[in-house]
Amino acid sequence: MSTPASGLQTDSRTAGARVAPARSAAYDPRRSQRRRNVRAVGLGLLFIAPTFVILGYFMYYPAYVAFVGSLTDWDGFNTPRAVGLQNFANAFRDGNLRVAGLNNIPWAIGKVFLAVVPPFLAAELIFHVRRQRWQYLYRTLFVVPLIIPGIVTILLWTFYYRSDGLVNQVLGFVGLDALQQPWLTRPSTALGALIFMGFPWVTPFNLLIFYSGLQAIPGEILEAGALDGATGWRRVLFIDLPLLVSQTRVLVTLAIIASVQALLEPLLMTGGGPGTSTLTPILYVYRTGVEYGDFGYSMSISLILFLVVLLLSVAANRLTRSRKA
Amino acid sequence: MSHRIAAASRHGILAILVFASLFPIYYLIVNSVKDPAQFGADQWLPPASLTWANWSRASDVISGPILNTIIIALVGTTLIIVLAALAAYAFAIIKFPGWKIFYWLTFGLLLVPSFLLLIPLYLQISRLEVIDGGYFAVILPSAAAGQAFSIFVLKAAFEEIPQDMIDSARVDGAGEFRVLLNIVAPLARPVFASVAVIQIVAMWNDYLLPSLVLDAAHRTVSVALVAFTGNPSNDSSADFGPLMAGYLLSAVPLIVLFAFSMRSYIQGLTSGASKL
Repeated sequence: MSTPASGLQTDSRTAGARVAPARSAAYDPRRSQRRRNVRAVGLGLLFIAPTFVILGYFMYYPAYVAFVGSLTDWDGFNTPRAVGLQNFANAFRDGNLRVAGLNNIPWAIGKVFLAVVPPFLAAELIFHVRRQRWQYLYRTLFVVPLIIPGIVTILLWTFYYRSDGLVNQVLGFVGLDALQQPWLTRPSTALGALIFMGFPWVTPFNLLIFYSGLQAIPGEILEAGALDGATGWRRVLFIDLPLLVSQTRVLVTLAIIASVQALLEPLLMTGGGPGTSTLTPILYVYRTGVEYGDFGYSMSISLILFLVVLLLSVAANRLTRSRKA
Repeated sequence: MSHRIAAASRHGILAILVFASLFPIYYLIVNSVKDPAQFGADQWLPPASLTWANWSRASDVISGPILNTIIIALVGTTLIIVLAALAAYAFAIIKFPGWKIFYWLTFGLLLVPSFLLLIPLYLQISRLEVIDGGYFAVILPSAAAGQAFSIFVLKAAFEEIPQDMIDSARVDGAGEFRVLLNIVAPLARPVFASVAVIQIVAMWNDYLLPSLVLDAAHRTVSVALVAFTGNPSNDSSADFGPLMAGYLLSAVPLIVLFAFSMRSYIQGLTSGASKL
């Protein structure tokens, strides 16, 4: 173990020379440079080799299989039969996939709204609390729910939505008995129930992102704004929101990506039903693959979804970026 | 005067939001000690008499899977950290000619969503008898999935270490492994901590792949909870007390983990997002 003694400080070139010392008196800098490079490449490859072995087998190879498999008719056991683009043609004519895609639109809009608005409002409220100690307390309390595993939240909300569940009991307390219903087993309410589960939607991660964004706003801007009458709600709308565009962009992008991947809630809470009312595209991928064993078709739909995710995240970035300019 | 009203209403709204956010924890606690009759009568208040048998039933069902998940999360995270540290060192410090190609090859994986790989992985692992059903059927793919993010974060941390310190260690005769172990790793310890917590939490919450590739003896806690619950949307009455106790038990390891590392977790996540 060495410490950086001033006498030993060198720049990277001389340090490299130690690795491949010039042996002959006729020192050829270009040759030793080359030898050093070869050595560095060898070392570098040695260091990244374990990562790439595991990535190769568990990331690149499955990605390749997904790509090639999408061009085949494959039950997962017999030899895949090449069918060209047939799976993609089928996908565009598939009524179930269309329904699933349409279900995904309100899902994405709702989830993006919930990922931004409640955490932003909570962050504003906390930020405007005068005492630092209270701000710290609120932040901590909002983070505590992270201890509940995600799967437990899903299972709990399934109970909350039952006809004898908490949601209906609350409606009874406030006199809205007419709205009481089994939320997850009615086609008209199931999708909305899945979208709006998780009240009060103050996601710890999103809250903290907004809160640290608010903390980073320079005091001079706020003072200048206050002189121009930008206080209270006006400040939130005309100063805070525009300055939090980059945070919002990240959260919107993440929410869109997550909503196209919405699988666990419909799989565990409704199974996609009643009927196809909560079927999502990714649940359909899961069904055709894992449950019906139509792996080629399943992979082709997941490839289409992958492209949709890519396009949407690029679009989300573009849209919010142009607003900033 | 209006200031005071505004401040009071802020506290009021925040208190309601905090209460609602924490409510599921309260709900789990009070209902974990009710018998079916008490649960049917009321889900809001603590019961008059406590049914501790719920907890012993839940622990019979859940403690095995909790142990399985701890093994998977710890081995998997260790594997992620060791591999990612080596690769990040190669990208940040050795910077061998051509390193950028390999860096972008890993970085590009952040764009590949897990659902794209789910079905191929499921087929691939179920045919690989060496690991099928056992811990490594989840550990190895999770380790692979965690690489891109971890390398990304560790590389950024390694690059902030002063080049002089690394060079002088090399002059003193330390090989690259020694430099990584003795100079770089100790300096980047907080970053290692946050990467580790983030990966542990991710593996703790993972459900899909474990539900497809693990046999009953190696089940993780998420899979076991879903199996224990049965069909929750079915309106027939289930035995809720043991379920709620099981849900709470599954959170205990996370409570222990967060008690020590909530700060690392949050810093890691928020700084990762700010780099996007």
